[in-house]
Order: sequence, then C-alpha cells, then structure tokens
Amino acid sequence: MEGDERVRSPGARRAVAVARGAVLAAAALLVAWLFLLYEPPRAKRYPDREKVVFWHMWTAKWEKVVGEIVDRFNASQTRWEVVALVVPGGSLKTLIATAGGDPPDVMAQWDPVIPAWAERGALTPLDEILDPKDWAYLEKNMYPAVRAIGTYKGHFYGLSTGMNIWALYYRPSRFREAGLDPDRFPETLEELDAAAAKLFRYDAAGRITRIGFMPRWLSQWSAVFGGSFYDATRGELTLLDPGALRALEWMTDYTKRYGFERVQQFESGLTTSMGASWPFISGAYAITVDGQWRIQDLAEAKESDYRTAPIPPPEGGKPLACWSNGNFMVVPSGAKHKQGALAFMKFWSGVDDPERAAEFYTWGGWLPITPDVANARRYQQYIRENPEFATFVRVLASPNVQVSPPVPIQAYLMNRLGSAEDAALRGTLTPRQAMERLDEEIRREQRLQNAAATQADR
Amino acid sequence: MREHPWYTRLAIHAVLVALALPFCMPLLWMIGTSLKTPDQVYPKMVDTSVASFAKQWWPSPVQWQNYPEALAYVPFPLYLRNTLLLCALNVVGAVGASALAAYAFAKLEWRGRKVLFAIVIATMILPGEVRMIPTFALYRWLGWYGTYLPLVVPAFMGSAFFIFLLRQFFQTIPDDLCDAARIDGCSEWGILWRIVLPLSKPALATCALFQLMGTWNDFGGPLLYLNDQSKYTLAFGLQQFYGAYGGEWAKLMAAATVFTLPIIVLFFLAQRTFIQGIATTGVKG
Repeated sequence: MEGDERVRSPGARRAVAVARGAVLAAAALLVAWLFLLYEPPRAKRYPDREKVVFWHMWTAKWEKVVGEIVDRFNASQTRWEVVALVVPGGSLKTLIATAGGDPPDVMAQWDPVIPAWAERGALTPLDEILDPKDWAYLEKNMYPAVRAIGTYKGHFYGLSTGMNIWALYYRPSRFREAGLDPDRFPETLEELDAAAAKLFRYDAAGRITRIGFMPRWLSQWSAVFGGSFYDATRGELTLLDPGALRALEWMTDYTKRYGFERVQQFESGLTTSMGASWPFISGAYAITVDGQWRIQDLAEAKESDYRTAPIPPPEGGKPLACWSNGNFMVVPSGAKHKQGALAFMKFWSGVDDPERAAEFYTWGGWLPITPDVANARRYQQYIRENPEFATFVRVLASPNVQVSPPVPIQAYLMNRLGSAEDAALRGTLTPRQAMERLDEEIRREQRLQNAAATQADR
Repeated sequence: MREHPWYTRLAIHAVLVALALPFCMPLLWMIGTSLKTPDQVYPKMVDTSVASFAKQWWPSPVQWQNYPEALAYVPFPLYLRNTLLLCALNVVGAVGASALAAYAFAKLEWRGRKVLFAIVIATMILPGEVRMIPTFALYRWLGWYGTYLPLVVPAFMGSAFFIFLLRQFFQTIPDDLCDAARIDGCSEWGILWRIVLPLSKPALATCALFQLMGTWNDFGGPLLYLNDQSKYTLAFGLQQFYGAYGGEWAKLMAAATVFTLPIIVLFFLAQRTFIQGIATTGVKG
C-alpha cells in the first residue's frame, strides 16, 4: 500500500505492489462481472394494465410478505397492476411528491399521517370514492379503533393493513417460582402490583437483576384508567383528564417504590428490538406490556414459557383497554388511479373477500380490521396454532381501546407526552405539573399552527 | 533520517495503537455484530464486569453465514452496480466541471471574476433542505423525476466547494509556467490539460475521493428522486434491513461491513495522494 518508500526493503515493496495489483485486478473483475454479465432479478410485469403505484415502508422480512400480497392481487384480476416500492422514510418523499404533483396512488404509512396530511389536503377522503355498498359494509363492520384512527373531521381517510394492540406478556415459570398461580393472572391492577413486587429480583448489592413489572407509556395506562386525551363530542384535547392524571400518578408510584435511578441503571443496557433481542425473551422482565407482533418473535426464539392477558383495570377503570395504532393505507390527493388504489386496499383488508384476506393477516401476524376476517377459517386456524394471540383479537374488539387524538399535531403531541411522562417519573415535576406543562405546550403549538394555516389561506 | 531503535519504535506504535483504538471501536463493533446471532446483538443480562463487557464485543459462535444471507437479502449486486455507475459519473462530472471553473477563476483575467467567485462561494451557505422542494419541482418539470439525471447532472455543473479547493491549488502553480506556454502558442485549454492538471493530481484526487464518498453514501438523493427499486443504490438499500418493528441487526452490520470495505480499501490504496491533497489544500474533515 502507499507509504514512505524509503524505509521499505525491496521485498516489502514487491509485496505491496503485488497486493495492490491483486486488489485492483479483483476490483476490475468485479466491475466487469457487474456491468457485462450480471442479470438482475426482474419482477413480473403486466404492460397492458393500468399501473397503480404503491409506496410502503415495509422492509426486512415484511417486504417479502407485502410483495406476495401484491403478486396475489395482480394475479387475481386483469385491470390493474400494482407496482410496489419500498420507501424507507417515506413521509418526506410522499409529501414532496404530492407537492410536486406526482404522488403514488396508494401509500402504507403509520397512522399519525392521517390527521396531519388530511389537514393539509394531501389525502383523498375514502368515503367519497368508495362504492356506497363497500362504505356501508365498512361503517357497519370495522372495529372501533380502525374507525377512530381512520377518521378525521368527519371523513374517513385510511384503511388499516394491520392494527396493533397491546396486552401483558408474563412468564408462568417466574410466577411459580414466586409462589403465584400462573393459571390465575391478576384481574385487577392492585393484584398486578402485588404480584410484581414478588417478581422483582436483586443482587447482593441491591441492584435489580430482574424487573417484576414496570409500567411505561402513559397513553396505554390512561386508557386502562378510563382516561382520555380527546373529547370527540367537543373535538377538543383533554390533557388534564382525571383518569390520565391518576394513571400517571400510579406510574410515578412505581418509580418511587423501586427507584428511578435503579430501574434506569438496569434498563439502560436493554433494547426493544425485534426478535431474540427483546428483553422479555432475555429474561429481563417477568411481566411486560407489548404488542401482538411479539408472538412471532417468541415463536422464532422457540420460547414457550409465556402467556398473555389483557391489561387488568384498576378500581373504576376500563376492562379490555389499551392504546392502539396501526399501519394504514391512504390515497394521496392527486393520485391518478384512485379506483385501482381502492381495489388493492379492499383486496388486502378483506372488504371484498374476508376469507382470502385472512391468510394475508396471518403472514404478518397482523390484526384485521373487521370481525369477518378475524372469524374467517384461516385466521381462526392461526389463532389455534398461536393460542396466546387470541388475547389481542379479544381486546381489538373492545370499545375501550383508545387511539391517539385526531389532531394535526398528533406526532408532536405524542412526543411531548413522552417528555411529560419522563419528567413525572424522574420526579422533576409532579404528575399534575407535568401534564399542565404539556397542556400549555400543546395549546401554544396549536395556536402557532392555526396562525400559520390562516396566513397560508390568505 | 536515522532509524529509531526497535524498542523506541515499539513504544511509539503501542501509543499510536492505544490512541487509535477508540476511533476503531465503532468499526470493531460493526464487524463483531455482523458475526453474531440475533440474541447476541444485545447481552442477555447487564453484567458490569470487565470480562463480561469484553465478551460482548465478539460473537460466540461466529456466524459467518450472516454475510451470504445479508447479500442475498437485498439485490446487492444490482445496488452495487447502480452505486458504481453513479459514483463514476459524479466523479468525472464534478472533478471535470470544477477544474474548468477553477482554472477560469485562478488563471484567467476577466471582468467580474471576483464577484462571480464570491457568488459561487455564497451558494454553499444555502442549506439543502431549503432547496429541496424547488429543486424537486424543477426536475419534475424537466421530466427527470424517477431517473438518474437529478443525481448525475448537477455534478456536471461543478461543485462550489471543489471549485474553491481547486482554485486555491491552481493559484500555487506559478503563472510563469502558463505565460511561457502562452508565448509558445499554447491555447488555454492546452495549458489546463498539459500543465495545470498534471501538476494538480493531489488536489484532483482529493476532489475525486470526496465526491466518490459523497455519492457512495448518498441517501437523500435516491430517496427523493428514484421510484424504481431496480435503480436503488447501496446506501438506500441498507435501509431495507431495518424494518418497521426493528431490525435484522446482524445482517445489517454484515451488509454495512461489505458496504464500507471498498472505501477502506480505496483509502489504503490512495492514502498518500489523499493526505497530500488534504495537506496541500488545507481541507480538514
């Protein structure tokens, strides 16, 4: 390699020259193969059909699942060809493409985009372009959380490709070890608190070596305590809701009881990644709250020492409650093939054939949007093969499932909610102070947004 | 220069290796993680002993199959081909166009030269985010959206940074050389091609390497302008390892190692030229 030639012996210089030559020759061969001989894989195309451009954020193993669904749709009819494109970080690209007048026809995104983009006029209301029969079917059959997330200011904008529901995962072996009955999971939050206390483990120095249970995410627990951050009748945020405050006070009690610093020291080395890296699998938690997709992680890790249960409510709280979100397909305004987009969305979600769509949902371990898909034969078979999954399907149908407030600043709100929760858990602010500060921040942000919107209208 | 005794050289090397180790740690972590199973990526339980900490850095057992699996996970050869094509075009375009402009600013006398040079430098102040939407609209109006043209043509317009860098370097070449050539009847193009450019190899190599690394690592351009997966580049393709619910970290690190390897090899091959160019032009970082 290059360097100070003066200190090299002739042998060393020869060796360097040979090594350099070898590297250059290998590079030349690789380039020649890439440009002259390599044939990339080619997807099947249907040149006579109308092209429906579908952008999605599914990567890793889910990209192949989505690809299979797209192939099935293309093979099922002769008018449309859906061309799927993986667009990691697609929000920016979609907004710029929409502003530039060349958006995709349908896009899969996380649900916060619905209020934010609908407010900007970047989305097509689906209730205005769906066949009345299909819209009537959806109105009557979709789960409450699906309707709540997809609706903004009276219009329906997004159809879910998979809802997310949260419930409790627990280890029966840890229960038995602590003298608890794993077949009788706590039915109230008070019982859960008592069980958690018995499941914590410490080393000789008093450091935590296993967490019995540690609540996180105020949005989850607000729903369980019967609180809500949004009043749908008045169309207003209610960040100082008494249920939400009680939830935050209960969460703060946990960190006071077990020590925020001690818990943080333990959790700092953990991760919430998918697969076998999940801390529940590694034994860091005896009980934890997480989503239905962990069932697949546990299957991949060949873990059988687990069960699931709905989050138990406190006294005065709501049973079968949790916070929910999901992946939604939306049609950008300016899309050129809206009917093609709708056809694909109905195919995937099971509006036109729940039995066929049930298979797709089992591929991804996703939760469907209507009971017709959940009750389909293939989906029921999946539940029989993965019995703990039934907990999530049961909670999905509950009217107590809550979603993020349908406001344009939803992403900002949820981010600041996390900061408020953190301040309360650390003890920097009391729960009430933290929520009052949050309320003030959000009101200020809403005023700014309204002022900007008014300015833009002029 | 007198050679140091072996123990002095050993001591110097030991100190340099110790100082270099923190800088190498991200690379070592990347390579170590690329050979792990998914559950090894993060440790089972936090253990603060030094032995346990050291153990986390290296996999056991070593999963060599992560590499072929990672390369098969995405169409790696296709993305590599696309990346090499874009790199070649961008390097030729950026270096060629910038050299032409820099020669005009450095060696030719014409009215408005200084003002125009100041304007060229001033364009560096404008952040890319500000230019994003108008640039997108321009390319769409030109019909370039979905093609490689937005990722290649701007390089042929020159880069303000490279124009500045090369101008500075060209100014160190004595004017007498150019004057002598003019007296002998050489055209300006001839002076550039036969005298100035051959004397500017380190600076040109620096520009080429910077452009190469910039294009190799470019994520924003392909994200915004490419609508066909068959045109995707490596930097963009690496994102496909990271899913909506988390990532295939081991495979991602394997792909990232392969992605980084050509740049490391290139650096070692052209180390002296690169460092000479940076030292001569005063470019840092």
